[in-house]
Amino acid sequence: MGRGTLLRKACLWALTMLALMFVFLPSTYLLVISFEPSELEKVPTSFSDFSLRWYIRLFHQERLPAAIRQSVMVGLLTAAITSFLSLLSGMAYRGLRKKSYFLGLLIFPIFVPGIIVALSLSVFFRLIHVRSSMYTVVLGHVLYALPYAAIVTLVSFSGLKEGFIEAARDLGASGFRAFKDIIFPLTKGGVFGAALFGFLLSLNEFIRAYFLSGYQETLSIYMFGQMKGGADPSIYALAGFILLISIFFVFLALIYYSFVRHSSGSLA
Amino acid sequence: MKSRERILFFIQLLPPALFVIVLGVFPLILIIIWSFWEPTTYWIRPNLTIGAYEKFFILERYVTFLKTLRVSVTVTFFALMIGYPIAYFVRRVVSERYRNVLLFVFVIPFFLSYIVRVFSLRLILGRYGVINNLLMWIGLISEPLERLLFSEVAVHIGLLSSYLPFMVFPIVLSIDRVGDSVIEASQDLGATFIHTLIRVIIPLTKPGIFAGCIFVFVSSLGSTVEWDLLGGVGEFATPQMLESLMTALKFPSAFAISTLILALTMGALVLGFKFARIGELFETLE
Repeated sequence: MGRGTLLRKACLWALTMLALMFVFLPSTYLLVISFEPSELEKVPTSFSDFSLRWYIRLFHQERLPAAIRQSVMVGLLTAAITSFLSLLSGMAYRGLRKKSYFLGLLIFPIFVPGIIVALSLSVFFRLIHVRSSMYTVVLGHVLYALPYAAIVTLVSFSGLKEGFIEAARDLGASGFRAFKDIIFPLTKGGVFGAALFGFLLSLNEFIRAYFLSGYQETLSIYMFGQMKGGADPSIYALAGFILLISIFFVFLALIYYSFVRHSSGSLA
Repeated sequence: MKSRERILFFIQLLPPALFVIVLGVFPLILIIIWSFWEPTTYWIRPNLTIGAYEKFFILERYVTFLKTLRVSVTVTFFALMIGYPIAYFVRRVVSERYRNVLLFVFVIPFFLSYIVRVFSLRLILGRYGVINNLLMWIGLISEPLERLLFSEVAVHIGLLSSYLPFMVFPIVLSIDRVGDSVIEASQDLGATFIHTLIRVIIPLTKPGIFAGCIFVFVSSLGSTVEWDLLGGVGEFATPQMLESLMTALKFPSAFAISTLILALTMGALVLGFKFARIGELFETLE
């Protein structure tokens, strides 16, 4: 290995690490600061100084519980519908001849800016006389999560050999039996991933919820209002709380995928 | 039996396909058409006019539009300059084990709250933030820099940190498709690293470059949160303009600006599919 190669490697390492710091450091810093008991934006001076003061303060915020409930409901519904539609997409995909058209349609919403989706959906609902509610937010969120969820599911379906299903059918299994005993067990990693995408993307989504929700706000909308309003340091606790929920789910997924290795259902 | 299977196939195909067509495609067509309708006091009525587009120029809304475009292009450029070497590093330099770890790490931000990530940059860029403290500690400056936060610089930084991971992924995918043998062949024939990079790797990874750029560009164009939380007072971009036009019930104007954004986006996509063959990136799924 020449000196040029070594230098190049070192530079690439440094660049990647700097970029990761750039992406992760701010939110990590915020998380640490949320445990500082005083009103100052600083890192707690010692370990014994870490305090839940601002987190406890969150219990006194009147509109927060309803916003959390709304976000959890929207997230669960989004997860359920997204994973169901992804599963159907995966099943249908096997039998398609012009696969690229269907795939193109599924991932098309990725390429439309969020605000345009939000705006067009809100006037569409107005046209068909559907009032803004939790359900309109859910529909917007499914549309947002489906492309990613479908890709994850299709990857898991690509490990499913057509021969497996034919063999099951030849041995006399009904269509439902083949699905229950062959297809679903082999692709459930993808379906689980789809549900996870649905829930987490929904939980953290802002602009679509902002345009589509009715009277009851979601957690993201509530938090955004607090951020713009220049609230006390409990905003760091609120932000930290949301970060911790997402981190918890990411770890859950990590554990799930490293213990339950599916044929080819890797997330990356 | 055969026809039963056909029916079953359509039962599986139609729900996801119809969902995207009805909610993801049709509303877009709707606002394109409605941008040519006439405004009434509270809504619109069918009467062909390009009034909304005229107002776009007369009321100088295009100034804000162009500013948003400029910022999006700059952010896309920086994302490419930083994202390409990272993607190269992840796919070609590190071992397979580290590669998966790194890829996973780059997925994580996608699952974290987008507004929290943008908001947390305030702590870094603020008057008493990390960067100012660091610079003063080193002794490079004696007074904190005022224009770091609540400025266009901060908006650029926010957009970059939000969308950089989206540049890395498509490029990793496309380097993956080039294959090691092609690159080794080039090197065996005596090409230097730079030569291989410019003549072989970059041309062959055009699909990934295009896909990443379109993604970052489109997302930046439609971002509100960075401008709201990091931009200065009166710092105003197209998304905010859309928001205020909607609240002011100026529907055709909002639709006209949306149509322009859509035209740009779709134009970029068509170019990408025609000349950079973005479709290739998804072939592994076919």
